[in-house]
Amino acid sequence: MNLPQQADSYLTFTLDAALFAVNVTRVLEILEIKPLVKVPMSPAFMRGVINLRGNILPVIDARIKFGMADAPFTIDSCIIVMGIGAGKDPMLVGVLVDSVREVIELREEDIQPSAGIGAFCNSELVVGMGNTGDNFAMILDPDKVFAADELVILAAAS
Amino acid sequence: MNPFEAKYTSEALELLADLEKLMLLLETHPDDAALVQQVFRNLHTLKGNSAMMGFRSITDFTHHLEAIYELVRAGKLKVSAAIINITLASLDHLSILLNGDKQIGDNNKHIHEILTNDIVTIINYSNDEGREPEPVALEGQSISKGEPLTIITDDAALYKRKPSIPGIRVPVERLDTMMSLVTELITLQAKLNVLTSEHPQPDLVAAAESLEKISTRIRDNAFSMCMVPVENMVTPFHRMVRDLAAELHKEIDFITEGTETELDKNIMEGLQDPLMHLLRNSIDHGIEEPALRQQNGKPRHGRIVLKAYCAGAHVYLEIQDDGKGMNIEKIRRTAIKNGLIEESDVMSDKELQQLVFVPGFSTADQITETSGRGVGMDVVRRRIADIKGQVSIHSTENEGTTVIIQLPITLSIIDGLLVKVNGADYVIPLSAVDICHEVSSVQLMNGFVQVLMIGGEAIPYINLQEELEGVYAAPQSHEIVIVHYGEKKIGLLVDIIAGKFQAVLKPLGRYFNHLDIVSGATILGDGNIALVLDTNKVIAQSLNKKIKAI
Amino acid sequence: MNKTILIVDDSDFVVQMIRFTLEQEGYTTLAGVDGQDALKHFDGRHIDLVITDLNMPKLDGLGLIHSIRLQAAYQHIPIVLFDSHSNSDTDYLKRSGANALLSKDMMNEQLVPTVKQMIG
Repeated sequence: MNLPQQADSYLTFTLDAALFAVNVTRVLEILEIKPLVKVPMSPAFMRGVINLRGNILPVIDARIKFGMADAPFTIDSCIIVMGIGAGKDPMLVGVLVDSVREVIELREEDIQPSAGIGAFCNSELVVGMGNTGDNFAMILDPDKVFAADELVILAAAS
Repeated sequence: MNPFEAKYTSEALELLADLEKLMLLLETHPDDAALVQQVFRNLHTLKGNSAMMGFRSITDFTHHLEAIYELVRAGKLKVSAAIINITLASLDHLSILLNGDKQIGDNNKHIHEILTNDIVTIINYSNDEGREPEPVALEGQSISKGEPLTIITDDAALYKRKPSIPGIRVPVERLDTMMSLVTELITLQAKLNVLTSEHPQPDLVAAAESLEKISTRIRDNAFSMCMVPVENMVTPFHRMVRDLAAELHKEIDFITEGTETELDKNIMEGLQDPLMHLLRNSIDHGIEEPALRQQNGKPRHGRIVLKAYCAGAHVYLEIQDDGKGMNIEKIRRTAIKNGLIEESDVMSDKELQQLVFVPGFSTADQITETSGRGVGMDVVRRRIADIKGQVSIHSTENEGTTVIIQLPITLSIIDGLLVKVNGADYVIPLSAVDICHEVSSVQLMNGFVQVLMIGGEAIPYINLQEELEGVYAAPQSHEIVIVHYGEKKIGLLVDIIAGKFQAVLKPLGRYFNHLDIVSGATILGDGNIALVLDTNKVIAQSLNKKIKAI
Repeated sequence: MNKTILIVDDSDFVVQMIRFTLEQEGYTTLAGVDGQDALKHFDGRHIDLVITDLNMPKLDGLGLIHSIRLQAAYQHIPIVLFDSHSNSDTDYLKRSGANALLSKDMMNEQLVPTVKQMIG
């Protein structure tokens, strides 16, 4: 459960000019784009794996996952390393995004229930819309959006 | 907590485990003086250790138990079913005490008193010239005065009780740390190799080679330390088979073979539960009641065999019973009822049998507490998949059922062949490889069935460039890696073979759990990632595609 | 120079516990896993005290004491015999050839005082 408290910090990032945000407590680090090793028989949004200090990090292409058109990498493209799932073993996953913006503070009153479009009508995936001042960021719940099990089901079906 | 308590507890539990083993042997060899002496020794040691720690209740309880065996030693008592049962119950009670706070409290006071009374009763009876005492009913257990259960082991070693080989006890955490360090060493050594090849100097190259040789030896040595014989996990099985069979009024011989076969200790831990479950299945649903067996011309005693052996890069465990087997029609009907297959689906008997591993399947008429509910077999398969193993079931109605578990020998480091396919790096486990060859494009005879002539043999081959993803380039020449596929040999066409490599296997993670052609990944000396292929799965997949394309 | 104490018991746990306790008091310790194993220490070196269990395989406590006393060099070496339950039979003490008896359940309190009393 990602209930925002008094004022929480959120990392904002862009995908196809849309602004998204995720609670910083879930963000471990931000990496530059590295060559990805594609794993055979994996769905299109599993972009591949990279070497993160001796461990294998799976990388999800957020654009493909959200049904956006694929686009070539730019110098701003990077990988956000997030921790998924609570409990004993939080998993690490990398998320490929177009660019990373700043970290903002959002209080509870800055967040409205989601009135998203398209895929983001599903309020399960989107915690709410955060008012950044000059824009709105769709706040994502990484556990839901990037959950392994759901991905696995999707993968098996494809 | 007394700093020695941990040591005391671990030694005490070992003594109990040994005692349990001895009791099961004593049951079929009640007059073996050496066994009795060993039981007495263990109890005496346990008593002494407990006294030193000041655990009064355990000391006194063990003292009573020891007294029984002192009387047996002196010829004043004979080992009887009652004594064995009470001793086993006492061992259980002690085990619970040891794993807890070592004190008698409200929850174990009752059983403690009952057991103590029973033991004292037996001791007192011995004063009546060795008359066998009446078996006393222990709470929760039923005493069967019928035929004793026979537990035979095929391993002469178990009975002969090898003289204790000198060894030292090492905490498991230290072994784990060592394995971690060894894998880091291997990774670093691979990196050194890459650097050395970039800056070759004779002395450096020679030193790097020597380092590689020593690292390999350290690795193998470290692994062998973490390998444990299957024998070590077998005693609770004997116990469970004995107790459950008695409870269900069935007569069962439980035989173990090949238990000197060794397994990585982590793999072994993952096997305990699934094996227990499979054994319960055999006892509960497999072996029929003695009368029914006799009616069907089978011997009264059912037979369950647990067999372990090595073949190729795998260790196999089989559980074989000669019970009533699986009814194919029943499986088919249940599968249809539960929506697993359609009425119209055509499946071989073998395929139907594997359906029992699918979640939500159960044909047991009564969901028995021991092994019903249909949650059993799919969990078994998942637990075995967790340790990178596979399970299959083979059954003939009225003759019996065999469950075969295939396991990797070790989970962490493998010797591999580094290859490139479509520009990407892959590792093929050396254990699967037969031989490698260079092949020119001219040699590839293109037809429906791709076959190569190598050394006079016709070897079918698969083009990995087509099977795996990546940018297809059409090189002038390929190399071919010939691997074992069951009893056959199949060639795998790759761009280039880059050499041998010690791969530290890293799991890909839960995101790729469904994937079977890739069993993991490894980090190369230059930091790149190579995917480790499961050649059996790659070949199976390719064959399936071809068949479907017909 | 530290005093040297030989500890003999077939339970590794017991040996370790006693060694630890005595080494904390500044003694040097040696160990044997049974009577036969313990005898190998009696090769002419100086041993100040022997602490031995009674029930052991191969050569038990009584047998060990007997063998030690047969050697001229070690005839008068102080020996403590211990067993799981206390034994107040003074005749037994004399017959055993030991200088003191200890029981395992009183070991915690009595070990160090007994040792100090015997060899300082």
